[in-house]
Amino acid sequence: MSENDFYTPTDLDMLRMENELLTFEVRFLRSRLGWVGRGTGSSPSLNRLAQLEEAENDLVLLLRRMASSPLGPFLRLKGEFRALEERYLSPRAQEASARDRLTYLEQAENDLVLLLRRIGRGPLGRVFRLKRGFRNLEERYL
Amino acid sequence: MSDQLIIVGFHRSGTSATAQLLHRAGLFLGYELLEALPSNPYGHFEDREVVDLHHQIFMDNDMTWLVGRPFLPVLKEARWQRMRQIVERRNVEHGLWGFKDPRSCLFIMLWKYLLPDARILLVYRHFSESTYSLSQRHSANLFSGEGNAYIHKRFWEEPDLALRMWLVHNNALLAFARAYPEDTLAVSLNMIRDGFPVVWAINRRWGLGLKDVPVGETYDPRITARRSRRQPVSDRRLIPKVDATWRALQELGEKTEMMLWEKEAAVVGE
Repeated sequence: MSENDFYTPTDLDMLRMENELLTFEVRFLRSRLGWVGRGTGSSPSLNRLAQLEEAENDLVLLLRRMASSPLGPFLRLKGEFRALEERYLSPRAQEASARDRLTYLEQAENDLVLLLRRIGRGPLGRVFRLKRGFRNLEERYL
Repeated sequence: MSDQLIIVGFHRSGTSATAQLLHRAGLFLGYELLEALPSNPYGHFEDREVVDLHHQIFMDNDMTWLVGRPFLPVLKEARWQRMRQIVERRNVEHGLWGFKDPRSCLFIMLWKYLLPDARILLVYRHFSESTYSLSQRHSANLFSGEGNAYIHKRFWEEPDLALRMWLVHNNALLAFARAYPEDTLAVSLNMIRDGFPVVWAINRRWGLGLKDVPVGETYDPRITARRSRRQPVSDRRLIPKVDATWRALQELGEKTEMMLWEKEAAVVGE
């Protein structure tokens, strides 16, 4: 057998296949969550809508808790936190929500995940994790 | 005398939709057909007896249907006997019959040996779309825990497995088409999508007397997935081979399309 008959997959090959499988997994999970046909204009399932609304609710409660805590003034020094307050706690939030409810809810879920990741990774992550509510949120969304 | 029409094509190439069309046109496709699955919501139109036999031949040769290298099956006498039984029963009971199973790409020469007058309808699809559709089906089965996880996972453990499979299956069909050009008619899934009158072409070529069924009645474009990006490949040596095979398939498809142009030219000439 000549050397030409052998083919050794490289790490890059393995990474590509893993990446492809992950992409399929995301598609599979999305379709299971009722996102099938989103691009074609069909509506998400009621289950999915309920999940998104729960995420929005959790985000609003978390932001309120953070804003009213002693750390609130320090958090407000960060533009990102101010943007989240503006987006979800201000009167404008109601308008944005009513305009395109589905997009608004999906963004809320996304922002909640990012916020939880940021808090969990930061220096206060361990302190937050002492609270059951925060642990529940991490378990639910991360 | 009985006529036989075998529908062959690589997995996820549109053979089920084509078989459904021919089934409605009057082609007998088996006493027990495989049931519909989420990946093929309108059914596979596969003859269980034929599919079981093909699986047994793979097992006899220590293989599964994931064949990514040239394969020369060795048949035990019991398998030949089973094939003869399948043929004899259908020949006695049906004036026109056939079957559809993507695995038969690898066994088509064996069937031709037993059925010297059999014709084949070769259905082909672009490698990028077939392999993507195959990966999509097996990823969904893997994540939902259906079927054999070992089989599903192999598509992400062996680089280019689906592409190599596409190559082996279609090369086997091209070998058949070269050996028996008069008994081969090739159509692509794209042609079917564009409304090519498959039943008309079969009747014109071989006079099998199938009923004309509009393609739109059986073909549902929503169920055929398409890859949105280019074909990934790890082993670049495959590229010229796949390219040559695809060109050869297209040449066959163009010959079939010529039939329609000739007909249109004749109508205009009249």
